[in-house]
Amino acid sequence: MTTTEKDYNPKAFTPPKERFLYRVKFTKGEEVKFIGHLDIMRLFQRAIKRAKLPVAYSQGFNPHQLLSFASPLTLGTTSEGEYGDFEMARKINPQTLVDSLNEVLPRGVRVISAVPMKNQAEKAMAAMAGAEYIIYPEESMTPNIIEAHLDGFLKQQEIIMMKKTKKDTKATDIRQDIFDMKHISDGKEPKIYVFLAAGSQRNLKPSLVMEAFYQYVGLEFFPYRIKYHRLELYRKEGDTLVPLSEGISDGNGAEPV
Amino acid sequence: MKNKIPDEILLQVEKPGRYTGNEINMVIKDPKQVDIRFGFCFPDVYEVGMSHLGLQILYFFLNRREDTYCERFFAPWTDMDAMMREREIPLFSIETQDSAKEFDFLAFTLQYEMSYTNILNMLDLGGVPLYAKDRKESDPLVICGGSCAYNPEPLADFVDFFYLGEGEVLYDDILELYKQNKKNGGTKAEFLEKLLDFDSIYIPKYYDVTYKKNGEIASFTPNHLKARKVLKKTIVTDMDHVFYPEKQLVPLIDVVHDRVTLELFRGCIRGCRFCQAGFVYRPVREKTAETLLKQARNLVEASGHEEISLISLSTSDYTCFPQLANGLLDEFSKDSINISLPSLRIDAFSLDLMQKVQEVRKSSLTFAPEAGTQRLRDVINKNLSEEEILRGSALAFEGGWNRVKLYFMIGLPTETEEDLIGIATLSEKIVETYYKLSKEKRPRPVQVVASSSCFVPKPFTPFQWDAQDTHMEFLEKAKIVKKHITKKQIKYNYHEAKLSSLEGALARGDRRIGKVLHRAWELGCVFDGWSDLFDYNKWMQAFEDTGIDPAFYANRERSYDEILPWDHISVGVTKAFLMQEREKALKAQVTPNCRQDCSHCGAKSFGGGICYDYN
Ligand code: SF4
Repeated sequence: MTTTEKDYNPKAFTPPKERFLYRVKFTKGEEVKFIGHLDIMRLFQRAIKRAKLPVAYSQGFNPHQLLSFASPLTLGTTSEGEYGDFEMARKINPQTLVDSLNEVLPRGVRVISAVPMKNQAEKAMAAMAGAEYIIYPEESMTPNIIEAHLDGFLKQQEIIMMKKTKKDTKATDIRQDIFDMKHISDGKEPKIYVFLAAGSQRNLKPSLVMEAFYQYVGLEFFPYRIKYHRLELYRKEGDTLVPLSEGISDGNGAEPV
Repeated sequence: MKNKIPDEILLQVEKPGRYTGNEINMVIKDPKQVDIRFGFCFPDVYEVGMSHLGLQILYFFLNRREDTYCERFFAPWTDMDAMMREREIPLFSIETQDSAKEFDFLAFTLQYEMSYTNILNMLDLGGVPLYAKDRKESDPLVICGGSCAYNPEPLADFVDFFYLGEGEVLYDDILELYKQNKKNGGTKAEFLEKLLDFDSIYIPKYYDVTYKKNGEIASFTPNHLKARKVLKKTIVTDMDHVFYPEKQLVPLIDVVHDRVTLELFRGCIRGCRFCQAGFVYRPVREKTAETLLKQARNLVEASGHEEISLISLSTSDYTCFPQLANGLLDEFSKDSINISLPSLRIDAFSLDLMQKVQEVRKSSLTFAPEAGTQRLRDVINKNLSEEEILRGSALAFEGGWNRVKLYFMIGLPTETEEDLIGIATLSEKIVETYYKLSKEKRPRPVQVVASSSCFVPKPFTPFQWDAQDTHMEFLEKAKIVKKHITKKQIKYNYHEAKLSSLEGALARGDRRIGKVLHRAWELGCVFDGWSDLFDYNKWMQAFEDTGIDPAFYANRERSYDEILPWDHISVGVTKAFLMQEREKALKAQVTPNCRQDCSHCGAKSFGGGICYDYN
């Protein structure tokens, strides 16, 4: 009997004409905040396997699951607004997707919602334009200091910081990438809210904002003692920014609450 | 759950995910609700330890007991080590991040000699006194097991007891005994005394060693009435009914081997004379294909892994291999799960199989002739002829392969220049085989990579009496090989000879080597198996400072009547058999493998496995 390589490969599959994409929103808690971006991707691949979800695969000798994720999170940062677009081989109930993943995901990762996407919706990574964070500075940055300096900090025409790019470090004005910044301490615990540019065009890390703010206030900056928590990722719709999972639904499932 | 190790530290070390656990299937228990806290310690970095099958098995085996919580410890990488010392953070477990000192047992697995200094470092980081004699009632008991434990002597002074053999057999009894003893208010010393009832537990303090003027061992004698003269390893005889985990810990960060592992069998039929594993794991005990398929199903389901790897010392020797391989392909390839097949003999069947599981263009063929000439291959009992290699290559080249990897050893007993040149000749013959193909069948050039490692004589092999080459001699030999490799299609690699020299001294070391280990660690040696951290000069200084000559252990031929440091241990294979094998080796006579004929090596005494397939 002779067999061709093609016959050997039961993995080969024909892609469905209609694609079944789901935008999945999930958390990255304390337990997994030191797990990097690639590892989160692998973690979902395995969770999808364990949950026996009908995920779609790429073609070729080593097919891989068709998953794509939005903005990587800095190691150590927690989040309640992470996103991935998962492609399934067939239509499934979005709530089933949420529940079955939650049954098998490790502690710290919870799927909050899954929205069936219009086929023409832009991929999460490409669509991204902004990100919201809560920042917990260490105790030398007291609520009083924040209150006293935040307005002045934001009134600056420009805030020049040394920004790392892939190749080198450049002096960059970061002021225009700070969409909003508020003092939100409750009681003695210092807390700051920021809304920053995020995405492939413009991107600002909250740690750089904090470094600038510490400099402005005149306090010593302790990069490893400040906690960051991401609240939400936004995409552009016309002139406004909306959360990544809003306005992309194909109408076949509830909008997230 | 919040990490007890401050974020500030984790943010400053490389790969903090090494220390934060939370893997899929990690066992969570309340330490206050158990009687025994058991620390499984792997003396290397997380990514290496998590790739070890023995850890996966014992972790779930011990944790199936309600009264025991088995947690994992790994060697913190040097950056973390420095941070922990600076801030006085003791060695902590992955599960609860509790300190090592709070555990009843710290059980280290010895997989390679070059991890010994890490054991000392981990004890020290844990605040546990290094020497067994200095430890108090409140300190954990330190256990060592694993394949290097068959020569326990280099670590004897640091260890309370050695477990000889496969973990599934005795741990239940040991833990019951420990629990009883603790309940009755017994001391650790009393517990150790009770362990004398087991013939696979070696407790170094019950044995005294004296030495002759020339450095050889003069006597090795029990100093307790109940201490046995010879301790014997214990093994599982029924592989189909022994505990095997239904789950597997699935790490959240990338580790060395991240996949479902199926253990086809333990032991090896071959009896290659240089190979310690081939003797210490005897006899061969197989699992049935049904058992393996069931285990594969469970593990794939519980892990979500997309790769299954078959492991054993020589995959092709598995009697139900075709049945298993086809079963796995039928069942799993539709789910995009890859099957990886290491250490296959190259023949029509395996090539056909390899074409099914991997992309030919991207893969290479592997042969391990180990020696360059048939004479030397007969000396080491490596049953692989030149004809087989060339036939296998020709077949593979026809099938589209164009890359070949060859593994050799240099410094084997009786080796001559001819054998070294043979490495080059054999590599060239493979290249020539490729060019015998018609032109259209070889669109790409052939690549042959020949690698040689340095031979390290190991205990419990027929070469345990032999002298190892010095690292200078190794280099000279590698140069000879290199000189004779002239074809541009052949690439020759050789291994770090100094590392092998040191391994040679430790592998056949006695109790006195403990002092060297201690000194080397004091001088800063850790992670010696990592070539970028290995510091040969520090080791040489450690030998000098302790007045011990490494050549005595590595480069000296022993006589048959010398007392060897591991003579009080039996792995089943008798010393008489090993001597007979050595004599045959010197005459280049081969010994049949266990499936062809039983050579009565002694391993039949375990009452199971292949030795009973004859009647
Ligand atoms: S007793 Fe015979 S069959 Fe058993 S391991 Fe030894 S040589 Fe092989």
